[in-house]
Amino acid sequence: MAARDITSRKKAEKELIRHRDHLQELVDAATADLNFKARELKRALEKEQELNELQRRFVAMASHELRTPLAIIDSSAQRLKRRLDNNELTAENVDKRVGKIRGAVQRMIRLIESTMSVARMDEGKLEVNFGPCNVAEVLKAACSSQQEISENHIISCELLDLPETIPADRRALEQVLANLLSNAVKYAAHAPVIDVTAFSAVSDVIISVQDYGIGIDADDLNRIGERFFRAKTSAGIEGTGIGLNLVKTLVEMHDGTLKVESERDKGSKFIIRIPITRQLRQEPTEKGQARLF
Amino acid sequence: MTTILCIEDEPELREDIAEELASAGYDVKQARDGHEGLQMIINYKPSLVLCDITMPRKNGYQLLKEIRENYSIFAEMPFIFVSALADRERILAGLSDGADAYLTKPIDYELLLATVKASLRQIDRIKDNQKQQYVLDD
Ligand SMILES: Nc1ncnc2c1ncn2[C@@H]1O[C@H](COP(=O)(O)OP(=O)(O)OP(=O)(O)O)[C@@H](O)[C@H]1O
Ligand SMILES: [Mg+2]
Repeated sequence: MAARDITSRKKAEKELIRHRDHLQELVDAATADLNFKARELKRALEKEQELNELQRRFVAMASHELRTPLAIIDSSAQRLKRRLDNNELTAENVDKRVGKIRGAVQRMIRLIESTMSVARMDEGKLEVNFGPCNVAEVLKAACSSQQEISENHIISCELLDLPETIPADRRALEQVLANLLSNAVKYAAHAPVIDVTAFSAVSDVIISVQDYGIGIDADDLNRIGERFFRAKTSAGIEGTGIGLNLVKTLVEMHDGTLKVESERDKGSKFIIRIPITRQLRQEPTEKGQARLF
Repeated sequence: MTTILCIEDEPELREDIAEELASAGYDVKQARDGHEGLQMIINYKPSLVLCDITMPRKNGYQLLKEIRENYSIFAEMPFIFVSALADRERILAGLSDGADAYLTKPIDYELLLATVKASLRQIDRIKDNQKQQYVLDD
């Protein structure tokens, strides 16, 4: 009797210990899980805060950036009036003023369009509509329109055996080029030459925009194209950091890629690749939808 | 002739400001950023400086700080910010940092010329006062 009692007590004890250990394991696992979740939350919060800070900086920069072209337009208007009042107005003056005003307007339009596209991107409503697109023509037009407003730069445009057309969204392509060219001019204020080249290689069209300006540090290179990101070298130069994010998104919606090669004080080369033919896919439409990455 | 130095990185605006000041009879020098600006202040000892804030290499705040801290010979030279940073806090900060005036972009040229004139007049008065002091001291 007594012997059996002891065995069953021993058994019960063993069972209890097993339970306790199991519980301990459960508690440990739950704690680890909680810790993990807490860390994740903290990371998410930090990311959110960083994005908020970036957004705040963007709003401040954007209002500042719109003021500068406005200042150029207003300044031209005042100078025209002054010359008119003093009877000093010549055709040449008017011509110069018109150029300044149009350049400033173009700057504002690019900023407004990028901002709108980014807003559409956030709503998942940024669309590209593919149609036969004459890349050579779009490139030439983009270069000459940038050349018109950048008197101090020489934009050379070298196009080698490009296909007649590629399937692309013409307006998107124009936006991509306008952003790359305006960057090249802006970040190479004292290096006048900008080299634009385009050629086809196997299944892609490769377009590059190269400047010999301030460049980008190696440790900033892989962040180029992130929304609102601005490299250290661009300190003091106006900008909002949305242009390249849009460029990257639009190029990727064409199943293409954006690459950057750069070195501080040497200059930068932005290279985009866009497929010459579109793969037939199972996706419902060819309209891409993009989201913030 | 009174020399005014205009420091501004936007070439379009810099040319216009220079043109406006030149037609008002001032001798105008131009610099493209704060770094060049400092060199030109040392070389030309202008009577007054008009300076943008957002500029590459050395911005307006940095330049003003450097002048006020390290170049006491330019202590009396009026320093005027001309900036697209137009919110009240920025203006207050600029003035408390030692700028004599703060004009915002778009630039109202009449206001710019009036501000320049007023700042120069004030300096003349200070100098006259100092001269009289010397005369009295003699
Ligand atoms: N050609 C270039 N040379 C050197 N740095 C560049 C060049 N292009 C872009 N960058 C860097 O990449 C950053 C992001 O460029 P992006 O065009 O997106 O913005 P931004 O030029 O600052 O402003 P905006 O949105 O008005 O174009 C810039 O702030 C700059 O630091
Ligand atoms: Mg840009």
